[in-house]
Amino acid sequence: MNQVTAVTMQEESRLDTRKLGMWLFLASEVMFFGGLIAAALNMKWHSPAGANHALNIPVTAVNTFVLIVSSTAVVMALSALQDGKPKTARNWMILTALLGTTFLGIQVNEYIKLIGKGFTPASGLFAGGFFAVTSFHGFHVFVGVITLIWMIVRTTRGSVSPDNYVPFEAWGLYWHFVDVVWIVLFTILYLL
Amino acid sequence: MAEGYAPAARGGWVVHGATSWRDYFKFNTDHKVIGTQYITMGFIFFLIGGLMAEAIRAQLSRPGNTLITGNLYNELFSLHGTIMIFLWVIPVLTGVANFIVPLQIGAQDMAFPKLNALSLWLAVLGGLLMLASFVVGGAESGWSAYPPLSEQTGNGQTLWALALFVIGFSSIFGGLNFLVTIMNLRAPGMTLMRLPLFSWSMIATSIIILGGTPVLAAALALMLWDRVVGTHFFSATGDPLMWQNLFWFYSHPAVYIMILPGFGIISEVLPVFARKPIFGYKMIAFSSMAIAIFGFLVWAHHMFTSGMNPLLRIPFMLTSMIIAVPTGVKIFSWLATIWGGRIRFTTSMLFALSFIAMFVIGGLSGIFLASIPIDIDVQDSYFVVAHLHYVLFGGTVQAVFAGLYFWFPKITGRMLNERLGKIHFWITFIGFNLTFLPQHWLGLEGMPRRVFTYPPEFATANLISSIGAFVLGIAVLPFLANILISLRAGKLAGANPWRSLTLEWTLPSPPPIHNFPQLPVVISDPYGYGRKQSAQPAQPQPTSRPAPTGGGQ
Amino acid sequence: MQLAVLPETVTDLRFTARQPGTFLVECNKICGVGHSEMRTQLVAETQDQFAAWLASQSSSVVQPAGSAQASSPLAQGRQVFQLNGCAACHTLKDVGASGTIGPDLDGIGTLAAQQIKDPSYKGHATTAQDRIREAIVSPYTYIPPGFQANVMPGNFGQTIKPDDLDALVSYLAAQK
Repeated sequence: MNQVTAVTMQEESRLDTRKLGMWLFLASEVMFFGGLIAAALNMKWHSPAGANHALNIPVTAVNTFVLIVSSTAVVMALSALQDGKPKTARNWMILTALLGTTFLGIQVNEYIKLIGKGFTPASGLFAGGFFAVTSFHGFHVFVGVITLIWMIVRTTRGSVSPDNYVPFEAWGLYWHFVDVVWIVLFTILYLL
Repeated sequence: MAEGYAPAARGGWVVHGATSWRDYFKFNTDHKVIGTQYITMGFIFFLIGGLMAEAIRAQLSRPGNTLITGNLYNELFSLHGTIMIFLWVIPVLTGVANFIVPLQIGAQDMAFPKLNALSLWLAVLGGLLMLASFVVGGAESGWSAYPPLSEQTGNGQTLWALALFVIGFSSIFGGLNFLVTIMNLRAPGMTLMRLPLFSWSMIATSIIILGGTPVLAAALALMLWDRVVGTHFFSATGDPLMWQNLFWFYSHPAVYIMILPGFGIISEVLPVFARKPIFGYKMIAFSSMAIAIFGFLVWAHHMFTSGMNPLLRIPFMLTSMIIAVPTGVKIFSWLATIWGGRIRFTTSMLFALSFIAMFVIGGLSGIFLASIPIDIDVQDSYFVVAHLHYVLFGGTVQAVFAGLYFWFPKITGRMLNERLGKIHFWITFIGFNLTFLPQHWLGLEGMPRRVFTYPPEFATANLISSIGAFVLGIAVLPFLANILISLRAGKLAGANPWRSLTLEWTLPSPPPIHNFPQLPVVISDPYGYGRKQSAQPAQPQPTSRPAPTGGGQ
Repeated sequence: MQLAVLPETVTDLRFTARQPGTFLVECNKICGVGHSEMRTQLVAETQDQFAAWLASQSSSVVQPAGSAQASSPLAQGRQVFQLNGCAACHTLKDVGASGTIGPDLDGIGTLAAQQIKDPSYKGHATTAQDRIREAIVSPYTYIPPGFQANVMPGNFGQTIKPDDLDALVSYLAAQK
């Protein structure tokens, strides 16, 4: 890992550089999604009451559950790494990747069905907000799956290991963030 | 010794450190190379944006002029603003910070060197996209790109939005890098209360970047969706006002991104050339943080005439006036710093002193604009143009020059010529005031901004302003000549030509690839000018000694 | 004073005129190509003067928007002129238009015939009618001296129906 690990007199209590970097990146992502969500909410308020009735709540509720389970798998993977079991950790990581891909697949399927029903980005204000914010979220899930595959490769090679689990821990923060964003989106766009 | 500082000989695509000019065109992870790349890129765009300004002022030199009108004129002022903000000021400040901050805090490099290089090349990509948008034509709605107009203009507007989106990420990653670096990579003994004020200013700036720029990214993303996918976020059937809120939520704090590092530079330069400790170190540091936070609470003062809820304007007027206070604290601290000092009028110091005067003028016009009744009269007039140029050119750009004249010896190992420097300063000072002082009057008398002609009663003031712009254009020449001559034949600078006490001056000029041969241990703050040491009168206090692992110094 | 105008939104600007006079009103937010020239006048006058002006308005009543029903061919052309905002920039006494941004159209029927004979004329019209049509649908082919390009909208050829355009051209050609 190419950053300085300067040993100083006061540094024992400092947050690991890579984790601090990830937390700050996530703070910026909060602002990014905040802007998008504010826009989507504004579009909702400018729309008639039944604007989100085209959305399929039961299927998406299952999809939400899939993502939450995937976050649990991440916790298990990190725990396994920290307990000195890299192979177990890798299995949990593979499960996470499968669940993340499932989430994306169900989302894309939902998009296709919605567009078929005439609910498209250009068909209405709420629809536009829905597609914009959920597709940015989906892109973040996609990036998460790709980077997870890279983590799996590194774990197989040993550069991510019980002695060096912080990169995966930092990645895990990203995945949990993406999960939380989805819960917010599901609530605001589908349930309210 | 930290790993990862692979010399170029390791092959592969990641280069660290520069052994020839070719290394400056590569993906190079050394913060000193990246800093130089940013500064050079920024300066090139300064010249491009400046040429656009000269064209604008040429057109405005007389009423009814037909040199440049219509679409081309609208494109020119739009791109002038966009380029100056996103491709000159922000990159050049990022570049100076990139070079100097790790040296000031006693670090070997930034926390994430590869991310640092990525940020630089994203900025270059964004710059190229922005130039493409100019060639394609269509980015004609001002740098603030209000819809519905900005969703009806030509394809260049889409490229413009894409370019800004890319540049935004460069900025976000940069802010992240600075914040982690300053929090985690300080040398032993460098507590936050011993941190040089330029680095403090970068903490505040980075917080603003992380909090604000992503909202601009969201706004641009939605505009791109409107233009490309056909959504209706900002179109007539949607909510055009929403663009203004999202845009200004970033773009107001953005002006603090552009000024805070400038404030930091002034705080470094004044003590050195007045030979006095900085007055009010804590107040200056904390006022930067206050500006960072308050900066997010004022944005709607750009929208007083937008049709927004009239009552909601009042809290924004209040916050916009309150935010002057922390800046006022700094001005008084700087004046107290030089009061009774032994001032050495180097070019750097001249720019720093002029900064204080010009920024106060710009700040005062800003307070007038914060008042709703005044703003209702002069919003979108030349009064605003005068204000923004006094704070951005009279302020930030002069601070950049103060910093460049100050740190050029450290970066290159050679001194800039002081005579050429002073010529540069005086022509700049005269040209700048000739250009922008009359614009206050023009705005108060009712000349709108973003127009290519005006009624005859404004002719004299516009002519003076255009002459001033011509003088400003000339001012660049001694600076360019100075750089080119001094790079080859400037006097060798040595480690500390200014007898400054911050850590970067303990290293050779230019610094070696890995910065500090041994990690320094910091034992005091860096502003102890004139403090007596028992056995050695009138010597700068040592502010560091090497870590105990090495030999003596 | 200033206030933004937003699509599909009503904004409200109120003021008290303390003295009579003619005041400049100009566009103050970049709105496109014609922004620099988008200006008009605001007239403040006494109660009596205003009452007289109001009474004279009914003499040039405009039919509902979109309908060019007319009782005579010239009337149709006059209505097309009124419905397409021409009065914002042109003077034409016949409809009480007093715009000063574009050329004065009083006597344009005669003027157009002279324009095409002028050695500096660069367009393709051979009759006054053709010249008037050219000036509406392709205004930058030939710009009369003293005026600038990129101010008159260039898309009237698409926005005015052919039937209405013919009526407008006939109407203007009759202004001698």
